[in-house]
Amino acid sequence: MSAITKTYFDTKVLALIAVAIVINIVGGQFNDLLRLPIFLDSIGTILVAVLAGPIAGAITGIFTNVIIGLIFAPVAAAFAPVALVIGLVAGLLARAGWFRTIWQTVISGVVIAAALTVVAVPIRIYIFGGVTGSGADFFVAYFSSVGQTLVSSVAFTVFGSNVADKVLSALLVWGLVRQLPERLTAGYDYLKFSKAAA
Amino acid sequence: MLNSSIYCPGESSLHRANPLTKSTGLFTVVVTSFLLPPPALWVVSAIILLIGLACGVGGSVIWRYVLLSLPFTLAVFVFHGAILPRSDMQPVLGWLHYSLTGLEHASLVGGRISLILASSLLFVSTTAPATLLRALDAARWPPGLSFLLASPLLLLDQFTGRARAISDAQQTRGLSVDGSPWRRLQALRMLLVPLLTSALADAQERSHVLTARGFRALPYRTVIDPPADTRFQRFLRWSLAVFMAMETAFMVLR
Amino acid sequence: MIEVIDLHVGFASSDVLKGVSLRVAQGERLAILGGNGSGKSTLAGWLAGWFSGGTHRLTAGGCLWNGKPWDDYTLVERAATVQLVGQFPAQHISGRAFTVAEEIAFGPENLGLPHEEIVTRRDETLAACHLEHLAGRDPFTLSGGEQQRLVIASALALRPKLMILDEPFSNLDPEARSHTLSVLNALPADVSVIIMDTNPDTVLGWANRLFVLHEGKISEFGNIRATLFDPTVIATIGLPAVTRCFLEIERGSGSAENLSRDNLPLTFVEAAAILRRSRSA
Repeated sequence: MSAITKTYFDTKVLALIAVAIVINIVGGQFNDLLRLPIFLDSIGTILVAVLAGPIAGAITGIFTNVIIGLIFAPVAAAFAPVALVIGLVAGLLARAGWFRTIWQTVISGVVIAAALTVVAVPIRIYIFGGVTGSGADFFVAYFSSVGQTLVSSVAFTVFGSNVADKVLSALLVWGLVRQLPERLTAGYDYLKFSKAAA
Repeated sequence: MLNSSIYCPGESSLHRANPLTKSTGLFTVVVTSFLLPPPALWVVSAIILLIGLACGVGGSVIWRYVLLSLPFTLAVFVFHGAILPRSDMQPVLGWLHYSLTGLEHASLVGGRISLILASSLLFVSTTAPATLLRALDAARWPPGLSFLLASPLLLLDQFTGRARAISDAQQTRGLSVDGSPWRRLQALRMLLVPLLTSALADAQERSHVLTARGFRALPYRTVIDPPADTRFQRFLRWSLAVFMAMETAFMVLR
Repeated sequence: MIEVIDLHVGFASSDVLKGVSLRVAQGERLAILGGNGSGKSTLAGWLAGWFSGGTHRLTAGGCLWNGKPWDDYTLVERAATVQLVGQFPAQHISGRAFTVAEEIAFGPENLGLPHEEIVTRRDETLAACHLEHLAGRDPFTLSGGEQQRLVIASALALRPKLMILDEPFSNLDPEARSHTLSVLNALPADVSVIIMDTNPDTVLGWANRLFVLHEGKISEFGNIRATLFDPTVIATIGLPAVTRCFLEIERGSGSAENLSRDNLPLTFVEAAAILRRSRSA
């Protein structure tokens, strides 16, 4: 193709990232309806990671938080590195073929939750003093009062509140990409790594 | 809920300033907040809220500031002042203890968040997203960047409506949103799959349209009405950038 | 101009287009009729050079603009040459512009055109597509018909030499349909226009040439009448509504004129003329 500019991202991936960001923001709406104890705010990020790789996933994460910061709650922007890690790790796992079977996907969800904890804990402690002003603070308070250090109290809370969400999100994406028609997935390079071996 | 955009239209000098100048200012405040002592953090927060009042966006900024910072500030003072075990814990009454160093730390962390929050709110309430994007394009940032900021903002209402339509349609067809957690998980799948599928179809079609309209065919684009910029603002941005670099160097070397 | 030579295209499993050949000269107004699943959208996409990147598999043949395939042109050249307006206007809004005016300027801005040129094009197309009163609105809040005109305007602002419209009338109410038709009638004479549609009613009286796409193959039967009255075409597409209605009336009354496929009315204007003549006779 004789395009003048060589860009890292195909416009197709860029358009995908844009709708994925919206899915991340809108996903919580279904949660209000179903009252499940999960966030559903990174399904779009994981979907992009599986379809288009770690860098695209990371960008989806960063921009989701920047946009939430721009229109709803500026504090969300401080957690952009956490969203970045979710996309990055999900993309690397997809590249390694860990979105092929249901059990691999469950493990991928746990690994994503563990990786995001590593990034979220320093941000929570250094910038926010370990609290957020939400219900999760009661867990941090409980763990600290029974003798845990601040770091481990926050880490337990972050991992505990994220693991179910990330496993479910990963499973939803896994179920979706298996049933998508060819027409919708044509041109996404990373999908081949998640196709179950026939 | 904070479900409406924060931007408030207006004619103040802050509204008219170039978005790049304002964002450089915001970054400077964020970096500086890591150097200021607690009393200064709270004083500067108050000053920023007053600037908001002077620019005619005070009501909305202060309301959101209180709503977003109050729960956090309370939590941080209670947690560090009275719960997290510290060596200088003093008894107050019965089982209730307090720690002076804990309260000081809470004031530092709370003050920093308060300042960052107040200045971010002031920035977004005086900057229309469309103007910010034109400023980025005019400064020849990659067109993909402004697209990733603009597109989700524009598509949000459409997708919120679509999500609602899907949930209405599925519930009319007998989808139950109550019941055991397992059933509700099944319901979640029934709701999310149509939404994600339609999103993928949109992305596929839109990428063709964007390419056909010459999007990213060149590394820059013409902007027909770029936000006003002045020599003074350019000077200010460079000065702030140098100042931030000095602050960062100081923090690292300290 | 554009030339399609024995185009075979498909997805992995089956071919959608099975040997389509077509030649369109400058300024021609072409209608391609076909039922659902006949391959109209696929053909439209190939004509516009959208699918050359690998979404669809090309088995044989190709599509040439002035003798060269689309891949030989830069994206800037392609944008200024061919524009495709799709079936669902909301999907064809860029998602990058906060107002109707910005949406129209989006394409010309991408091509790095001079400031005054963009403003002129924006204002001209706003007027040509009857969108001036909506210039400041958010594109996603417009009605379907308004979005349709906006997509056409955004395409026109790039001053293409070939415009392709895929079922431009299918999702519109009658009023929006006549608005769109008036925009199409006012398109510059040197622009070639191809409309894909499922029924002949809206394009008759507009098109110079009529093609029928059926099961991935395209046919033209000499002139418009020959095409419309071909038995296989009547079986798949059906007669125009006016003609059908006229035949229904004729069967009951018997007319002064001898009606055959050479003079049966296709449009309201023709039907009205015949009725007037038979009344005065």
